Amino acid sequence: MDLLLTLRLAAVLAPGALVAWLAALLLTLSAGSPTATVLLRTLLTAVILVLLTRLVMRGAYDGPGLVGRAALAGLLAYLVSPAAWAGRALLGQLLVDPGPASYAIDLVVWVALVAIAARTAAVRAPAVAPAPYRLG
Amino acid sequence: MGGADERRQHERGAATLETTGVAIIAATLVLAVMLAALPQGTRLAETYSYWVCQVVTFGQGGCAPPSSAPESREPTEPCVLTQDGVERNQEISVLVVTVADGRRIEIQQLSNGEYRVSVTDSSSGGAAVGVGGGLTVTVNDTTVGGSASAGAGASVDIRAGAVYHADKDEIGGLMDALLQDQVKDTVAGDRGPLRWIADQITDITGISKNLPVPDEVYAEGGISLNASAEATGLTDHASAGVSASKVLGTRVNRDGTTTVYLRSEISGEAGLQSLGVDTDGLEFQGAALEGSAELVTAVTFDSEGNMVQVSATATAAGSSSGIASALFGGSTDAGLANQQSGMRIYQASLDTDNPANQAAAQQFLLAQGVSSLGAWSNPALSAVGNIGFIQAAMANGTVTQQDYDTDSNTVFGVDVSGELVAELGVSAEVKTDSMSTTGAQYWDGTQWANWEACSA
Repeated sequence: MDLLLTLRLAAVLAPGALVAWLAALLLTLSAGSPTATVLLRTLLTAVILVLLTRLVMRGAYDGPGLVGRAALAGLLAYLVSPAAWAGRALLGQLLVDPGPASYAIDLVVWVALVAIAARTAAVRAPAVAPAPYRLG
Repeated sequence: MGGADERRQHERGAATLETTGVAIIAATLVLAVMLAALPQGTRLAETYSYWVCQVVTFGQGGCAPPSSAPESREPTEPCVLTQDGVERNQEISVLVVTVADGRRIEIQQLSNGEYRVSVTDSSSGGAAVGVGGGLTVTVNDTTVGGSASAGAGASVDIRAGAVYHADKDEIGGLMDALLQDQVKDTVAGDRGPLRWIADQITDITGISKNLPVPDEVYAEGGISLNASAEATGLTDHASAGVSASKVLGTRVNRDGTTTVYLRSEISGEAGLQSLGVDTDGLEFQGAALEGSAELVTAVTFDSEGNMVQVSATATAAGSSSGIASALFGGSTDAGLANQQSGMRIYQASLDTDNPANQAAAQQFLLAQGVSSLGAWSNPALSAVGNIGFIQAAMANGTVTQQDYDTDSNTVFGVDVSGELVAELGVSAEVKTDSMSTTGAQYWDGTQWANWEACSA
């Protein structure tokens, strides 16, 4: 997984999470239940993170450091997500008041989701040279 | 080759699953936006939101049910307009809603059928605060109650807030807007770029119900008329038995006047005497004269800074019963000292439209250590004799006493409390308490008279 793919994954995850955040708000605003909005936001964001990561990873070749690079992409996406800035990205604010603590909780969950999705994604086989060109 | 084909097929299947998942979420979002855009969109969106909320929270989320079609809500039974010469709906009820984020919504039904909704940021942080919060009940634009507290001596808990007035047709929309504002506050914060995005998107899609401009606003204690804490002059030189005042807050009223709320404590016989009460011959039943009562004084200024009215309010409940009753010339009802669910609110108001009333008001404020409020300076430099503010109010102003029941299945107007909660769209995620008046009297110049308009 090269740097370009890392950036590409981050560039997909950040707006994807924002769309999930907005969808949760629009879908539950009329119900007037903050808890429901936070739960749906967490659910949709998690699904989006997993699905988009798996989609993007289809273009990656398996190899050492693949999951780490995906996690790095997840971290980058988290850093540029407006919802994350306020500690209101996932379910952290259900456990603690929105702020640094919820920011940290959401960060751990966010990166873990991306890493797990990358680990279980159907990536391409490692790129190796055709047999006639192998050394030795 | 066979293995590569199999993997490719497997990958193709995985890709289809993931693509489908993203497509479903996108379609859900598009559907939500489309629902909002349809002519019947509001109700559809409410229904859609309700079921999404129910599913996500496993039915435990306190989801507001969708409003039914307007046609189906038209009553088929004849309604009662008058009853024994007294109009229905003249009961004054108060519903206090403490929402999850600590904000408190007080809904008061007034005798003119109007609803008065006060939204305050409570410092209690979401705890069940019960009835309280400086309730000021307004009847036909006349303030008749005030500063109700569920517990004796409970301090009024105001930080900042806004007051909205709505009729029966508007109250539902106002409550929806308040709850939506709470949801946005929770998921996007009350300001910042995220909140801006949330406001813009919900406005564009038509889902959002915006809060109207409040009719009145008030701010927490210490903020004076010109929003400068230094401008409020409060000395420590209150009279014996009267604690120095503290500013509870200010309120900008609908008519352009501004009211400053002060709090002080009246203790024992000395406190009563300092405020001009002749304690000789008073018989206290059930409550000792050694008790104390919290006094909330409201000083109203016109737009030019002239004092136009002073009112004093005290709650008689528990140990405060004797002092409060004696101060306002009420009956020292032994029952009020013991009952948990009842209380009596005394209020005396005096318009300062003549020199005698002005002098009484100035002395009354001086006794509480008030030397200035904003641009207004108290001309009274020293307390002289009996202040007699309450007596002046009895002679030239308005003195009332209202009994409230705070521990009953309150009939809120004509609706049962629980039904009203559902009707207003208040979710189960809030805690509610309520109170309603069970009787009211006013001083007619010679004796207490039944105040029909404000009696249950």
